Amino acid sequence: MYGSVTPDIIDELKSIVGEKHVSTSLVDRLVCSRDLWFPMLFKTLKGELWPTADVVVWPGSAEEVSEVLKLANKRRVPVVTLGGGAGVCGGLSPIRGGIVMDIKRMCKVLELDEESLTVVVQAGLIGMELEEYLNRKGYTLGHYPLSIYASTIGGFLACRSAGVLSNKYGKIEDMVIALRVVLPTGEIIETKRVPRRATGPDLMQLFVGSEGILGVITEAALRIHPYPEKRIFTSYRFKDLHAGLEAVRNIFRRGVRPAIVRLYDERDTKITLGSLGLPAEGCLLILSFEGTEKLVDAEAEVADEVCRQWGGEQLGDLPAKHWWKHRHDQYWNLPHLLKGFMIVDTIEVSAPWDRLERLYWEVKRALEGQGVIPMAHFSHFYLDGGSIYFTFVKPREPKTPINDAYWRIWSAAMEACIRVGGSISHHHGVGLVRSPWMEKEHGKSFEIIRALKKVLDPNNILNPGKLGMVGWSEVRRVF
Amino acid sequence: MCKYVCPVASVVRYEPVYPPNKALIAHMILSGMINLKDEGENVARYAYLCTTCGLCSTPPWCGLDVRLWEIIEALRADLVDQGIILEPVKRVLKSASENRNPYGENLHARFSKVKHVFSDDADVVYFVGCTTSYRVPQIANAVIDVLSIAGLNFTLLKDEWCCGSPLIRLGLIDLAREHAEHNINALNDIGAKTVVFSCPGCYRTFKIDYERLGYKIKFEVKHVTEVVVDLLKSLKIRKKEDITATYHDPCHLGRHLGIFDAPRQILSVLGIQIREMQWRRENSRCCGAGGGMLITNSEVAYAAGRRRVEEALESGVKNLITACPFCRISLERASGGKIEVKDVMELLAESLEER
Repeated sequence: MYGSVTPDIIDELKSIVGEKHVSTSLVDRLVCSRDLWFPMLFKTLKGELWPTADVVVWPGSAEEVSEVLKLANKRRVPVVTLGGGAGVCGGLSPIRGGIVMDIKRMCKVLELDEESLTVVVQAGLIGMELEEYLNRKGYTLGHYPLSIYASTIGGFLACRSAGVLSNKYGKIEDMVIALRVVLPTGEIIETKRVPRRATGPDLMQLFVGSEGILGVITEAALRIHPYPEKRIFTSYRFKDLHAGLEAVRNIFRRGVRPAIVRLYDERDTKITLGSLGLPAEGCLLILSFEGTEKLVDAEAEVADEVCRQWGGEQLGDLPAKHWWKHRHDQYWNLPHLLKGFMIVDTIEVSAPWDRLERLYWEVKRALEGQGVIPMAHFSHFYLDGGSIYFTFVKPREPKTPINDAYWRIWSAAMEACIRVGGSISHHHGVGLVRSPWMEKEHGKSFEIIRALKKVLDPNNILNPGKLGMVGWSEVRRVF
Repeated sequence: MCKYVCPVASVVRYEPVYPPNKALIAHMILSGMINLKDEGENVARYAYLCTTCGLCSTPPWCGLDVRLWEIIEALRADLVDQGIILEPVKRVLKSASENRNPYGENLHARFSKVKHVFSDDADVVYFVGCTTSYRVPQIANAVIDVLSIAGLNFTLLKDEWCCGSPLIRLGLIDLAREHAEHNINALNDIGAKTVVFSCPGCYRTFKIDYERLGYKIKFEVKHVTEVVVDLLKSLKIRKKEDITATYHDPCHLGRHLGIFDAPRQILSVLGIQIREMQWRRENSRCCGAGGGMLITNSEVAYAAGRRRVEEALESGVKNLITACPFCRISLERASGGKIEVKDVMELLAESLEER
């Protein structure tokens, strides 16, 4: 049982963070209790309320976060951490009420180590604020998720995010070197800032992707890179998805690491190339290379050789440059899509090479089985596999309750993914939407996550219910 | 993407301050999720934390047909209609009702620091504006010098009132109508054919807002930089080639009215080397003073101004030029003496030789 947020708790919160940094107003509670998960959007459009916290606080330091958590732990009050609010999985929905802690006041760049190529930042800094700062100094983080203008560094880390240049720079878990974390009981811990070590399990990585259930990330040390000397774009057309995937797999086998690799399925290719007035057939592959000039030229040459071996037709740089320039424009389609369709959503999954193509067909078939129109692109690759990003719409069915249809779609896709042996999420995370499938995703090892939660957060105050900590009935209560 | 460019949210980093959430708040009111009776004060807190600069609603930061500044102004007007009026807004209401300016200054002292140029046969009127008259009269005097040296037959409007810009921005629409009617009638009475402004706020109000309030104006309206660009050839100018400067586009003049080049052309004719800031022209960041922020949230406005000054300093210059009295005040206050802030008309006036 959770404790209520009583007036004396409000007073204590005010004494911790300052009166003006605490609010119980409905306006603040509503705005700070939602992310961009489709059900939130749907409720917003319908004018329906969503689960809200009882109070919003804006801490200014790790020490203040610590005091807030000590109080919350003592009084058994749930605490949800808000970064940029750009998640798409319901991860910050305060389904048990309590406190929402908006961390964006903690937004300083604390240290730039140009020798070790490391930057230390507070977790509330917006991704693009950091990238612009680094660019001015001649560096890049190389992390460009589509939400870079809204998401925080803490949010990236808490959700294991991936940017569009991940093929070269990795996901956020590859960029992080050290963390400062406030534990649910209020202790502040710091992991050591060293490149690698052999001193037991990597405790830092416990908190990466923990979606705010194990601690609150307040600072991070991240790997940076010299700003690339050169960036080039190129595009190819393959006769089908298989040829395109084989080309990408072999590009990676040859040791080439393009920054951007985006392979579109046939429907996505039709839309993408069609909008440029190019013949909309086959499967489009977009590549970009960046870094030191000589290496970039060499990588492009090897990639070109491989693409031609697999029947790739060179389309020049136009499709790739057009996508790079307009990659954020997809946001603006959403209102139009919502007028014509009852559900608009995305699902990203991942698998090793030996199952990647099968995963695509199985999830696609599962989605189509639910009356959904899916399209997909493959955009994050590794030597051992890659991810698939499905975007889908469901035409209106006036008699079908939207939430029933929504969960049938998700259920079909998740089950298909698990059947094939893929992972149910590559970079959006779990939140509420994937919670019902976490046990199937992890198997017996999910017990370890449960046990960790119990040890670190004995009163279950941090972001209750997320990351698989609630079952179907609770998730369906929200939507 | 709009979240990233908000000058206020870059300072007050509360989630509800970010542009899409202000639109969300308006949506929640319209859809009955919250009501102004219970939540009015909380809504007002965020409604007035906006410079109405419009950057968030400009492509590529927004690809939808959303004009947040219009939503914010409508929201503020609704709040005023419901009797939810912040103390600073009340002060403006009182002052503008009694003295016809938002600053509590004496109506009759409007031109006390401004050179008196009154002509009965001029059909060009220089509308000085409250901020220029009472707070930065040096801009007015520079404009008067330039126009006089250029040989333009012009006059000030003896019975000038506040144009209504701060009133509209703060939601005081009824009072703004009173002011619009007065100014339009006064200008018609003296036979104005062209009205020239050095304040982009006044200019925008005459050019856009009066029509939105339902008034048609018969005279032509122009910003002084547009007028002066056409007169430059007739002026004898001592070049200021030793100055390297950056130019700050005022939101009302640039993004709202599309005047980006005229001030730069003047600087160029003066021989001034311009080093542009990263955020310029359509993407210019607000100085913090817009949308009544100097009145309602002056500390936040000040902090946003400091950020803009830092951007100017990053361009490696010692002179920050603008074309707006509000921007000049805000940026100068934020400059901490690190950079010299001037209006383009001041620089031009300093460079002119009598013919």
